[in-house]
Amino acid sequence: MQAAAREFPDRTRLALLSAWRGRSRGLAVFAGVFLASLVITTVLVYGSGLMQIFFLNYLDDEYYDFRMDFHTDIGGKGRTVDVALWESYCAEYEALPEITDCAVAAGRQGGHGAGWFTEAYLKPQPLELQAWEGRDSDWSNVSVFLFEGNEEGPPTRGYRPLRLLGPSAYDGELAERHASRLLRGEWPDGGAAAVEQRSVSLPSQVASMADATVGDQLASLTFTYDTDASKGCQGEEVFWQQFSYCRVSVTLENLTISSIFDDTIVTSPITSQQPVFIPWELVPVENRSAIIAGDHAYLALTIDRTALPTESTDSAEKELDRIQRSLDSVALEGETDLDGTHVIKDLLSWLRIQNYFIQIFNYIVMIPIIVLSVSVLLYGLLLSLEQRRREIAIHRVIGGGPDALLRMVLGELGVLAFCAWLAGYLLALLAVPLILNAVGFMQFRPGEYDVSPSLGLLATLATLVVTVGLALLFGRSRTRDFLEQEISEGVQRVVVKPQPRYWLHWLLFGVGLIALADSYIESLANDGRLADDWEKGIISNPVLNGIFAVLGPFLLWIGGALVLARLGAMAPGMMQRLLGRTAALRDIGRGLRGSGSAEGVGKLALIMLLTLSIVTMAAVQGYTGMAVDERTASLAAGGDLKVEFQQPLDHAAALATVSVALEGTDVAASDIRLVSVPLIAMHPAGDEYSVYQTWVLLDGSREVVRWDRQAFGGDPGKTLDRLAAGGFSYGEQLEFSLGEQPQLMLNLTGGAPGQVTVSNVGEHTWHPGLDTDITAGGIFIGEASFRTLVGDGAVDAWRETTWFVELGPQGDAEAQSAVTRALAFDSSVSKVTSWDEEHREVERNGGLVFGTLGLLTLQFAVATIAAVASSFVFLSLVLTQRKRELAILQAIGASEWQVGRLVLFEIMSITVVSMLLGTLLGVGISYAFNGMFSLFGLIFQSFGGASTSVDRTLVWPWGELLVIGLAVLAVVMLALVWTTARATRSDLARILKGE
Amino acid sequence: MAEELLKATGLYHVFESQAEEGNVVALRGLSVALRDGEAVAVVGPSGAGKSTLLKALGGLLKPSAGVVQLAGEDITRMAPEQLVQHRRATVSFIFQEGNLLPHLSARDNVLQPLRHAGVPHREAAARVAEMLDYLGISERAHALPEQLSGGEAQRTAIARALITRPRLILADEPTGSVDPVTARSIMELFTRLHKEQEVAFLVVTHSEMVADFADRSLELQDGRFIAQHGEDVELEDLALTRELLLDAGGNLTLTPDLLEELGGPGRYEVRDLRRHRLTLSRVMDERSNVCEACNTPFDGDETQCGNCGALRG
Repeated sequence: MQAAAREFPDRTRLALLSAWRGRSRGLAVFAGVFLASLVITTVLVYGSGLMQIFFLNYLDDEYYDFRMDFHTDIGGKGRTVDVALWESYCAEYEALPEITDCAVAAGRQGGHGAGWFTEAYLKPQPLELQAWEGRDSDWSNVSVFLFEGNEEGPPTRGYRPLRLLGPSAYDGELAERHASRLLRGEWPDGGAAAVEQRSVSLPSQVASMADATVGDQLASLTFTYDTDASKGCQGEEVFWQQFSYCRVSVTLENLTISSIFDDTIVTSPITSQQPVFIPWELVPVENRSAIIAGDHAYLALTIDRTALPTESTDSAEKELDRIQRSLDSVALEGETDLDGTHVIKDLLSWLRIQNYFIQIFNYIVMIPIIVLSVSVLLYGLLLSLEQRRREIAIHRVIGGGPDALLRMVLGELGVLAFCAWLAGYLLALLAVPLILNAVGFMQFRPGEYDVSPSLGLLATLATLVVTVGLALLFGRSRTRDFLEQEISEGVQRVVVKPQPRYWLHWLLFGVGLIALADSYIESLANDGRLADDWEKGIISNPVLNGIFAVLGPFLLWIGGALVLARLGAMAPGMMQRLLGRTAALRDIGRGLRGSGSAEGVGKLALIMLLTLSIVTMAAVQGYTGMAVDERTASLAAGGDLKVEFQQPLDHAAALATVSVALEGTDVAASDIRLVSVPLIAMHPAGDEYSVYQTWVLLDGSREVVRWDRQAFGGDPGKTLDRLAAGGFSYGEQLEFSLGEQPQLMLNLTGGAPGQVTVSNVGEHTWHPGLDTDITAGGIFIGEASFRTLVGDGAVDAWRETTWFVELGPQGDAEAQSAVTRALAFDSSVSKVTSWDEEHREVERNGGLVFGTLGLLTLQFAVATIAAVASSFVFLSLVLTQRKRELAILQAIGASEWQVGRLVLFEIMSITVVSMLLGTLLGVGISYAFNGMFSLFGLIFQSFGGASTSVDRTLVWPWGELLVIGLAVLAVVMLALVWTTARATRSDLARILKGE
Repeated sequence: MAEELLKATGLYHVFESQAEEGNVVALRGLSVALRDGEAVAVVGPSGAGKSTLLKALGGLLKPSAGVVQLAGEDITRMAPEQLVQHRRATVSFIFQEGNLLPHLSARDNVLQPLRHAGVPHREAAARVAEMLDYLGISERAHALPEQLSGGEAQRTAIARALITRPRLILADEPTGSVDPVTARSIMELFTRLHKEQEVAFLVVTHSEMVADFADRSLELQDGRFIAQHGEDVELEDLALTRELLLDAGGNLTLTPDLLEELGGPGRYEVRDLRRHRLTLSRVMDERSNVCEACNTPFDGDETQCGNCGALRG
């Protein structure tokens, strides 16, 4: 042990020295470990970065960090109904160093530790608005009932909630947080001012519905709270779900709207509906006491969020737990027992579930690149250890024992691998923020959150163990092989090289091809180029189809690379057969004939195939992903803008409203075009009971609406032409009733006189901007048929609530955003959707799959680098192996030029053929992977609540691929010239002697 | 009489081959012994099995059959690690090419065997410095092998072989890849080592100069010793069961001792010739008493002319 310590400096020096002097042969190992470390670390760090962004994003939506509730349920011990005492507790908590602000608040009842999705979770009720009455504007149509209330998240009773805020919510940190969300007006300056103003803060949706603005008054506002019914219910008894409540109502009068806040935040299912804010002290003291008794009151606490560790959500949660414990330990006057809850606790569990799915997908997406880097590592090791065979023999002769030699080789390998791991690890840490900023394939835009993702010690060690460990493990078995071979050299056991398992390669390839065929046929059928019967491909069993969709691409990729690599390695022979008799090759043909046998050449072909196919796949899927994002945005927005008015408007009125909103933008009123999609009800002639909802695609819709191939399954322009010429298309649900009918005679329902005959132009999938589920049950007709039905006058004066807007050439993102903002404050407009904002949302929050485009960009970049680097490394290794052969050729009279040409033809033919085959394989796996992307896309879409799956019609970026191909070729040429020159100029005699 | 350092008996070695000619028999049951401090050369044509013999004797190769005793221990039956230990303590190798480790400097190359042997670095460094000095290559200590001349490289290789203070050096064509002048200086070095340090040598060579350096030389052909030359030939080393080779040209060559035992050259008649069997008998006629070449009279039973060296007819 001591001796080992003593010898350590010398041995380390030697290992470093050997690693450095033998760097050219170590390059392959370095490249492999480097790539593996880079990729694995990136995926890990990326996951933590994504989680942080989500975390910070959602954190921003919360006004406070902790709420303190009674420990016990209504009727339990350690509770109080003393308002003054309750209001005094904040001072106790503010004394804690972590707490920056505390305010009395009242809203949803305390949960008392009820878990998510448990029955008890349903029990707590919010303070609910029952009625309001305006003074300056008409509030009679503004419903307190939230129709969407039951659609998202856990069930609520569906009324707009109210939140009461104590005086300290109007100063300090809480005031700042509220003020930052205001769209109009001011947050009252202090609790006294709030009470004096009788301030109410409204969500913008409510203000917009009521057409109310800051300064307007509410004559009255009535809300209810649930109270302790143990001493007899003073109010109304209510039953909801399986619980009973005693409900008391309070009416406040003469309130003034002091501010309007942005309620369009991204909500997770657990964030509650946006409430109306009113000062706590406006409520009479006896009611306040009852609200406390009814468990609605709590203390809202804030902490310094910038002090919260953000390197991982785990550490943030730990810190929050710690603060929670110190809150729980505060002793309160009157033996009141309060429990702290950090409000983001539920959020974190939600995020974890979501992130879990994302991570799984990301790992699957990154599998090819991990396989690639590991194979670069393994082949690199193989070649570099092969070159050490002689060296190991020498060591043996001069007294190196097997164990010592193993230690020596592994020592060198370890030094090299460690450096490579470190380089990859550091680069990954630098690369991840960039990838997190990816909004498209090879497109980046800084996000709003500055995250510094990092990896914990354990995860870091894991990447080290996986990459360096793999190198050492493989190096060990290979070195052992050498040592054993040499020891048994005496008996000269003829080493029978195991025949590669070609049958296995072909099997993998074959299964992969089936998956490819399945996916390809599905995509053809979806695109309308194949009969609908083929929509399920050739594997109709959904389970089997799923397995094929996930595994098929990998089998195709690996099997295809192994099978095609043999073809690539045979390229020089084929070249020779093709060009052997031409002047270019006549004199060196014989030299070419024997090549392709070297192990390194086959590996070069394989690595080329693997890398180029990934480059192709990443580029195709990347650009396809962007197209899908755009398509998703189009599906939601329809045109540049989708404007939903409160009342149906005719074209002129809609145009006038939108034109007003153009003020301050570069868009001229004459540039914009509007179109609506009139909806009428029709029935087939003679069958009044089958009513078809019929949408009319007006002629203007071709330019205004953002059509794409998936709308009709094929070229939308052609279908629109045929619709305009008197055709009809039907939704998926009408396929059985209308699919086979060549013509349809339609009447307006309700006995109106119009009748029209339309011919079948096929099925439609959707209309951008319209609800896909509804259009699936209806038909589309063209404008001409519509005019025949109702007459020109009716068409021109047609009124619709939803209008699609095209802003013309100046309608860029900025203009869209400006017009959207202006329209949002127009009282006649209920909702505006802008294509660009929708697109940003999709890009940022993943579209189909969160952040995949960033990872594909990484994959593309890494595979490109791998292609370039491995061609360089493998070339120099192959040429070193063949140095002797080349020297012999020179010794027997070949000129440097002839030898150069020989090498050039050989390597170039392998490279070019392998690259072409690799691209071909990439095309194949792009199709094959499409099935898997669609599958995961579907999962994520259903996660996000979307009902329509967006087709992934592949986009082929041939230009980019050509550039990459040329770049790789250029590097190969450079490497060739350099290594060949080195090989041909070195001392012939020395090489031939074997030194 | 010095102690026996190396003794090999009945060595056979077969290289398996899938070529048409079938397996190659490189050693055909040969025996050899070497005393401490003795220098022996093994000469013979290419492909005679010289290098195979050297490897087998040094424990680099396990013979198909036979026993090699090195410093009293049978190295053919040793476990690998034990064999390495034993070899490290007794024997070093020198090859035609220096076989230096390409990534290490001359000094590190020489230091390497001591590293393998676990000699503390400080002591090892001192010994290496001394050795380099002894061989006159101290100035080139930090050069990489590719920067060394052939002679320097070979000296480095020799230094590396000597650094472990071996009792026996097995050298395979040590001067094969250097010019005659360097070769001579290397042989002078060998002689000096042999004389001063009493290192035993077994040198495989083609070169007469190298063979001259040895106390005796063994001639190897087709995997057998066919002759031994030298001043100090031990007849008992030569087994009585030797085989003779009747070559394709019909020539039968007898070693000098056999010839002597037979009674010298002369005319023989075929007494009995059957398949696989030949009996010869001397024609006992009057032998010439005068050398046919120079007319000098023979003295008694002489088989060779004392004046011109011609064989007695």
